[in-house]
Amino acid sequence: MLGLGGLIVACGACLPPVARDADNAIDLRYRMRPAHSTVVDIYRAVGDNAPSRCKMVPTDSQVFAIRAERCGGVRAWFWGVSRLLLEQANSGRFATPIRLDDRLRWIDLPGPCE
Amino acid sequence: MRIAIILVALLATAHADPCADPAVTQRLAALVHARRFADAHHAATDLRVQCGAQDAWRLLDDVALLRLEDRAVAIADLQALHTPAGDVVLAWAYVTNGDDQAAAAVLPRLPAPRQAALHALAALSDEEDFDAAAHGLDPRAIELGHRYHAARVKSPALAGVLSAVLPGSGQLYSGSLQAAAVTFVLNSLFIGATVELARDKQYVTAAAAGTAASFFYVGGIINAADLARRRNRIAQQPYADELEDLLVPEVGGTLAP
Repeated sequence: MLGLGGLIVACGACLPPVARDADNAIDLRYRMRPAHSTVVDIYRAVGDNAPSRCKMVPTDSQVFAIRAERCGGVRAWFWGVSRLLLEQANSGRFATPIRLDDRLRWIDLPGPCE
Repeated sequence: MRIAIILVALLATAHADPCADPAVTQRLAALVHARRFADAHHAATDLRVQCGAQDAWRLLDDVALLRLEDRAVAIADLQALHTPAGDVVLAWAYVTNGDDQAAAAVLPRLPAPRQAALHALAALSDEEDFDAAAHGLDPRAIELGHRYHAARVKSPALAGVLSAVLPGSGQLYSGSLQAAAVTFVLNSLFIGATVELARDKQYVTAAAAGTAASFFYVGGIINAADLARRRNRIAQQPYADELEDLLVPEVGGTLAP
């Protein structure tokens, strides 16, 4: 139990470095290139027409696809939960804002996987 | 007469070779300096196609690619470039990526002030190490280093520990009441549901709820530490950028005179 606790704490404390955010929409789109998978593309096609709009860029599904490819599915799920909470934090203290698709969104590019 | 002058000027412009125009390189450097890296990369690619490779364009393109996290391509090109400025950028790429072994292979090729500057940047995460490494460099570097370290307001490790002890407390420590509330409520619901289902001997459903609970629990810890790191990074970034511009101007798009 203590070992598991230690593992969890280490998990939270020794994370890979935060990726430096892009400064403009063109750079952002360049760095989002690997965020394509058939499942995500279908999900995005549906999601883009839904009334609810994601506040984050890249979207949660795109980042999940990138992380699953880089770090594996389990880590992608853990980071997915973390990202949902980051979205809740909804503040310029934690993410850089950018005006994209006629609205303000928070940039969160996935960092390296360790 | 005036028409003739205009005609001559137009003809000169039409026949001017854009590949030999020094202003082209300056414009490319300005794009890198303005942090428009994708634009700089596309412009450099166009120039290479039209005019062939020039060392200055390659270097600026490599800086842009490194900033765009296309490291493999940039590093391969920098390794082949073999110019003094190229070596500085290559060493910077290794140092900032924590690749000490590769950095140690490139650093001896650099002049002593550049070596000291890169050693100082590599030690930036630790205030004492940075002060020792920056000793003898521009005094502004030490001042910026102090400001950089003073801007670190939260401890990611403490945030992670707090969230492990009480879900949501790490988010509260990091400065987000909303994320703290959501984490606390979700963890309470899933952990409570798991316990209740197990008490009712519905073990399969309890296992499913427990799996979901574990994702929210660990995800909450990761998020608490991540929020603290993000807060630090956003507060420290201006000083880190200024330090980089001061110590390694090549990576900001400044060309050698």
